[in-house]
Amino acid sequence: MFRAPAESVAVFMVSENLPAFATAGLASLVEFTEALTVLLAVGAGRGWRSAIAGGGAGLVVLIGLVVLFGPGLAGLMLGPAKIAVGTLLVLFGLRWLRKATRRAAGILPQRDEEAALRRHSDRFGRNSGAPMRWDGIGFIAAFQAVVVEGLEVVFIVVAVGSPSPGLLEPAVLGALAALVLVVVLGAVLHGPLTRVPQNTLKRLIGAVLAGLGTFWIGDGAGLGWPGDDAAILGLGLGFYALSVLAASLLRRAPAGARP
Amino acid sequence: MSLLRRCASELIGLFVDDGLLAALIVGWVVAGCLLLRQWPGAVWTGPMFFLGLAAIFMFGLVGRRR
Repeated sequence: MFRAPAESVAVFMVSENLPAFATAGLASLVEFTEALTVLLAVGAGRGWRSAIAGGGAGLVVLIGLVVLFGPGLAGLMLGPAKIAVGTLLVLFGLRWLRKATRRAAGILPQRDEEAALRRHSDRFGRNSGAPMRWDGIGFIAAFQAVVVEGLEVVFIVVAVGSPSPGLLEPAVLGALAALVLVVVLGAVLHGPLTRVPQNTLKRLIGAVLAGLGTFWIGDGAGLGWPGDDAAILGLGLGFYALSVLAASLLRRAPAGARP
Repeated sequence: MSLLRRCASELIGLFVDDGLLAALIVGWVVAGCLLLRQWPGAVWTGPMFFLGLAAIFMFGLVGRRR
């Protein structure tokens, strides 16, 4: 009944839990990094009490959404529901992949957390009062940042965790692990996380999610896949390869001909 | 109302940043599934579906100006 801790870790690593944990965790790392930048600006400009309270309230909403939709969706993943969720995953994943590809091709600028912090700081102003004072605007700004960035995390956690009830837990754990990492690093560094390779992660996760969604659509519609579940990996690699090809083509195109 | 509109806009924005592309993807999902399920379980149908999505993805990135 009880496993030794090392054995439990080993089972986790080789089971289907690891992809769910890793996908949700890496995607959450990107989104929470962006939310942290806004929270740092709010904290410095409007007060840390408001920033922490607003961020915390936002997290409660996000957890509520996962609890509300997560377990319910796991029981509905048949036929049309699989096609619908798969389609949303493809739309979401390809949106991330497109943007990341255009950044990799140099058409869009790379995300700069330092610049983003300066922009948000200009927006929220400088705190002329006590750093722990209560500020309604700061609370709402922090709440909004966490909810807006976190909605993508909620979708990924719920979607990745929906094929079977046992996958929701590792997906949630992955997201929580990313959250803890971002909070700890943010507290230690007192600055935005500039070293997180956001674009690379978004490109990778975008390809994985698009591949997963494609597989589910096919599975829900009764299409066949060579290698069954193993096709998911092939699909993810396929989308990633297309992204690399597209970035290469975009870099070579004359400036006026680029989309 | 404006808060609801903003929430709806944020939610839609999670999945759609290019309306034409999103429409093509959804259109292919519908058409592809209807067409390819004529051969249920055939191992080539899934990859064929992927190729359609791949074509739309490349078209959206490389094939047109925005």
